This record gives sequence, structure tokens and C-alpha cells, in this order.
Amino acid sequence: MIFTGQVLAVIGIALAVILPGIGSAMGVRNAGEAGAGVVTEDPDKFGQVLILELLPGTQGIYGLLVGFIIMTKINVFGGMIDLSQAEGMLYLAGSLPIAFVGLLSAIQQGKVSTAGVSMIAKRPKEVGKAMILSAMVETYAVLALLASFLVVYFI
Amino acid sequence: MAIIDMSKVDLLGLAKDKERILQAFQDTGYLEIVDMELPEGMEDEEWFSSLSFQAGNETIERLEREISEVEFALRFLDERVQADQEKKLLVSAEDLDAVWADKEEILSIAQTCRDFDAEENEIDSRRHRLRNEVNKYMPWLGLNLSLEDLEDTANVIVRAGSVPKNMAAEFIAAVEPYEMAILKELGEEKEDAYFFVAFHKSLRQEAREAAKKFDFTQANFGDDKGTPEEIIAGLEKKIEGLFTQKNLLQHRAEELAGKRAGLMMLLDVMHMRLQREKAANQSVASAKTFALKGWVKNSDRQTLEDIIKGTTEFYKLTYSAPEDDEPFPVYTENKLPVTPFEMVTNLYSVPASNGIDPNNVVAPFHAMFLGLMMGDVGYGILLALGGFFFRKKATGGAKKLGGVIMYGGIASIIWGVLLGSYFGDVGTRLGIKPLLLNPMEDPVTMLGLSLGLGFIHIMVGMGVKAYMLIKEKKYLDAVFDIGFWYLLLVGLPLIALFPWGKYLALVGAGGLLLTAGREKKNIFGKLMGGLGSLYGITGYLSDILSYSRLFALLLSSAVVAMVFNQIAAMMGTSIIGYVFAAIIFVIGHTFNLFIGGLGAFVHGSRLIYVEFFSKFYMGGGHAFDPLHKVTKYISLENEEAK
Repeated sequence: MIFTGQVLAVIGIALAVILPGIGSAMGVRNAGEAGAGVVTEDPDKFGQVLILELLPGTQGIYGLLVGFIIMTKINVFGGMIDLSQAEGMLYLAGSLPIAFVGLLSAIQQGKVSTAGVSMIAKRPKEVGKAMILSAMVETYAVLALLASFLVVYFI
Repeated sequence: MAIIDMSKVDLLGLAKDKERILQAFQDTGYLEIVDMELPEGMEDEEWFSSLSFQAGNETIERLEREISEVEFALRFLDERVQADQEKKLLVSAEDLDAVWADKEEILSIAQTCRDFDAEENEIDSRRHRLRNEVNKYMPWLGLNLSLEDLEDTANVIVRAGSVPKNMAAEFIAAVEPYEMAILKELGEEKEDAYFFVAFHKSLRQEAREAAKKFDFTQANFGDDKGTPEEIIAGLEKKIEGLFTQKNLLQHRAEELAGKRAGLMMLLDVMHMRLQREKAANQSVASAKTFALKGWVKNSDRQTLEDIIKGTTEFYKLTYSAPEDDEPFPVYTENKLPVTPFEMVTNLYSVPASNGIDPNNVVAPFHAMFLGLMMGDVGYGILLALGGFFFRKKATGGAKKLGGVIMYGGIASIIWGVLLGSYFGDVGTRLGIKPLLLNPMEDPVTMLGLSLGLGFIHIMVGMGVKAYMLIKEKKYLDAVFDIGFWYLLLVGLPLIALFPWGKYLALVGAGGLLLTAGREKKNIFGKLMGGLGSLYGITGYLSDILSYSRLFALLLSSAVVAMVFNQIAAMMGTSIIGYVFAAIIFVIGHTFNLFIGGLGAFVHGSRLIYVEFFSKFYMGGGHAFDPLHKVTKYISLENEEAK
């Protein structure tokens, strides 16, 4: 049997880190690409563009957070503890909310950030509003993070 | 917590003084000039046609054109010449006058930059063309014949051309049997193989067929003379010459760099002039007089009059209070700990002139939320110090941002002590105990605390709404719309603790059911209004749940810090390991501080805008923007002293 409890838990870690990481990379890439265009026109806007570009990057961190909690819970750093298959499955299931919501919300947030970048190309003073619009999408990643964290923490 | 009262200003003056008066207004920055609105019916007066409106349009257009020329010149020089990292030029008012007097000369420098740019483009495109020519001749290098000799003789036909590479071998094989034909392969490049071929005219028919079969494309050398090698050498020489030309140009551009200061000063002078012209353009002028309208803070009325007196004695100045519903420019005045947070509010929307200034309630919550989401003593100290120095250096809106960061940092230190976080779990590793609780060990309590803070925040927001209603003497509205909600929202959680909590909640709910639809006409509408309002409880629920982000962001920055500490700790086993550990520690925490700080600011602001402001805030005001000096490159000597 390959899928021991430990393997399942590590798959959970992997999913929590991989999927939101991919999503964040895509989101940041999208916004960054648009940002490069704006900065070509006006290098002074680099600071504002950077902020908007970074916003979809948080999901990757949320994923790492959940992954790290599982790592400490199963004591990866000091010889892994024994896990039953059911326990391993619980960790895997617990990582799913942030894995999927993180992936998709980061991509979608990247789109809003991209729109925000084009917004500040024309109205640099409105960077605050662009930030808030983008942060709205992140709400759902935060909720998924909470769910994942609480489940994983209390297993 | 105050929106400053404004007075409307009507000023009538002599046309010849206009320039000086506007200059004085711009130097002092007390007056916002707005569009002149003429009373109704004035169009019918016979003297109306002698008035001029927007007389400055031409001047403005010209200035804008010149500004864009100077901006181009500065960009041009920036791209070619390494400039020192700029500090603002310190200049006196006389310097600026001198610069303005030299305007034509400085503009001619800008024109020179334009010319250089055009010349450079021309050189580049010529070089490009020559390079293409070279590429065209490269495959023919093996041809040791002058091109003009590639002519048919009486009996021999001579051709140069190419066939697709994949047919080359077959082509050679096909020509080989003919004794009366010579074929020489000159080389291959990309898709094609290049050949020189000569054959007796009797083979013309066969040659035509072969050319068709193997897709032979005859080369076209036009009028070029000499061997391909000679031609290429000639072209290279020309390209070389262009290089020299371009270097020369670059050299001349570098010599122009000394004139940068003049361009920079002129740009600022023209910008200031443009602002004055635009302000002046909003006034109305007759042949000898002008009239303008504007707004001034009530407290500055005397100062403004003194300023005008200082320039001329012929004027008529009238102040009047805004009409009841007339919106006026909004300027909020707050004392120090609150002032920076005006930036947070204004990022959302400037308060309406008939609304209230929310900054006093925004300030403590924003700092508290930002501090909680960072929630770390080490980060707090760095933020507070960073904000402090940023505040010292920056001006305007950036200065306020510095203040927001500084107070957020201080709040973060406090939260860090309460939650026992020092650069993540460094404190825990050293055995420092949290004063309140460790969110990593007791996450549910921490989540509850976050939601509790959210509950208080929303209550305060509703409280401000009640305050506004009471100020407008709508006492019943305050009781019905806020009081009953208070009873319901406070009563519900109390049910868990005290049996009488449910009576509180029931009274609140009943009150809402009966009063929320009070503006509806019929009884049915009233009842539906009440029910609809009660349904709004889901809104409050989701508002409060939204504060779980406080916990989530606190957790995320704490865990990322822990990750870096863990890696650093695993490295720190030997001397070299300690060095790497230190590097990872510094880089990791800098990264986390930056990302975490950005998140904390954005989400802290969001809680203010969405959950808090929706309860009471009226934005949409127009910020007070008096005519003043905006400079990019220069700072004036007498202002530096201030």
C-alpha cells in the first residue's frame, strides 16, 4: 500500500503549496505584464504598479501557511510521526479548501489587479480604489484559509 | 474632527493687476479659484458681449506645447547622459525670473534635442537599410566576379540565383550531365542554396525547364558594381561612418547635459505659470477689469485680503457663506495622531461638505487593525522607525502615509507584546511569554478576539450614524434605526451568557419589525419593510465574519516568519552556517515585512471602507485645492527655511 497516512499528509502539504502557488504566479504574472506596459510609459508609477501586482501573490503564502501547519503537526522536521490512513486522509482533505480556492481566486484576483493597473495608467490617484477592488476577491481565499487552518490545526 | 467652514470669495479687480494678484495667490496658497458662474439673465444685457471668457486658451495651449517639448528634452537627456541622482535644485525667486526671461534660449536647447533625436533616428534607419544590403550579399561572397560582368555573351548565358536547399542536390545532379554547362555552388543560407551557372545558348530550353522544376530564382543585383566582396566592404565602411556620426551625436548630447538645470527650472516655472493661467481662465474679464470666484477657509479671510492689499489698492472683495445645500470644497483639520489617517479616508472618498469628518474614528481602528495583522514586536519597531523617517523626508500625501505606517508600527509593537511575537517565534524560542495569548496555540480564542473587535468596530460605526441623526434632531430615527439594532445585536450574543439576553434581542427585533417600514404608505408595505430590515441581520453577520481576516493575516505573517526562522535555525550549526542563517533571517524577514505590511494596510483599509463606512459615511466631496506652487525639480529658498 503506497498511500500510507504519512504519504497522504504529504500530498496534502504538496497540494496546499502547489495549487495556490500556481494561481498566485499566474495572477502576479498577469498584473505584472500589464504593469510593465504602464511603467514603459511612466516609470514613476512603478511603486503603484508593484503594489497591485503583489496583491494576487498572497494566496501562495496562505497555501504555504497551511502546508507548514501540517508539517509541524506531523513533525516533518524531526522524523515524521506515524499516521493512520484515516488521519493522513484528514490532513489531505483539510488542505483542499485553500488549495482550490487559492488557485482560482489568485487567478481571478490577478485579472482585477490587471484592470486596476490599466486604471492607474489613466488615473494614478485612484490606486487606493484599485487596491480595494482587487482585495475583494481575496476575501474568499481568506475564508478558505481559515477553514483549512482550523481543520488541519485541530486534527 | 472637523470639516472647516469655507467662504465664497468674489473678487473684482483691474486687469492690469491680475497677473500680480494671481502670482500672490499662488505664492501663498490660500484661495481655490473655481469657475465663474454668472447670474441668470445676464446674457441679455447689452454689455454682455464685451466680456471675454476663457481668454487664456491660446496661452494655455502654447504653454502646454512648450512644456511637452521641455519634458521631451529632459527625457532625451536622461536616456543618453548619466545624471546624478537628483536632489531638488535650490533656487531663489530671482533665479526663476531669470529662467523665464531666458525662455526662448532654453527652448532652443529643447529644439536641439528634438533635432538630435530626429538625426539619430535617421542614422539608425540608414544603418538598418545598409545592414540589410550586407545580408543580401553575404551568400554571394564566393562569387569572384564583378556583378557588371554577369552578362550574357554571344554564345553563353550567365545566371546567378538560388534554389530551395532541399532541392540543391537534385539540381546539381540534373545539371551535371551537360558538358556545355558550368554550375558552381556558392553557399547556403537559411532556406536557400546559391549558385552561379553558365551554359551555351543551345541549352536554353532545357535550362528554362530545369529552372522551373527546381524553383530557381534569379538574383537581382540592380545597378550594383564590383564583386560581392567589394560591395560588402563598401557597405561596412558606410556603416562604420554612421557609427562615428552617432558617437559624435552622443558626444554633443553629453555636452548639452550641462543645460539640464535650466531645462528643469524652466519646466517647473512653466508648470506654475500654466496653473496660474488655468486659474485665470476661470475668471471673467472685461476690457479693463476681471472678476473671479473662489473659496477660502473662514479663518484665512483676513490673510487673503492682506495679500491682495499687498499688491494693489484697487479691488472689491466680498465674502459670503455657502447656500444651504451648496457643496463647498472640503478641508479636514485634525490634530496630530489623527492627521495622517486623512489619507486613508481620502483614498476612499473625501467627505461630503455636509457630512462629517470620520478621521477621529478611522485613526484608532486603522492603526489597531494594521498593528494586529502585523502583530509582531520586531516588525512593529521596523515599521515605526521606517514610518518615522519616511515622514521626516516626504511631503504631502506621502508624509501622511509615513504617519499611518508609524502608528500602525506602534500598534504592532503593543500587539506583539500581548501575543508574544518577536520576529515570529524568536521570542518563543527564547522563552518570552505572551501577555495575553499565543495565537498559534490558541487559535480559536484569537479568532474570537478578531470577530469581537469587528463587532465593536461595527457598533462604533452605527454609533456615529446615531450621532449624526441626533445632530440633525432626528431623535426617533436614531432610536428606531440604531437603538433597536443595538438591542438586537448586543442581545443575541448575550443569550449564551444570561437568560435575559433573549428579552433584549426580542425587544430589538420587535422594535425593528414595527418601525423599519414606517415610511411605507400602507400597512402591508410597513410590515414588509420591517421584515426586510430584520433580514438585514445576515448582512451584519457577514460583516462581522469578514473580520476573520484580522486573524488570517496575523497568522500568515506569523507562520511565514516561523518558516524563515526554522530554516535559519536548521542552517545555524557551524560558522558558515551562522552566516547563511543570518542572511536568510534578514532577507526572509524583510520579504515578510513587505508582503505582510502591504496586506495589512490593504485589508485594514478594506475593513474601514466596506464594513465600517457603509454604516454611516457620506463621501463624494471635493477636496480643497487652493492655487499653490507645485514643483518637481526645484525648491524655493525661502520655503526651505520654513
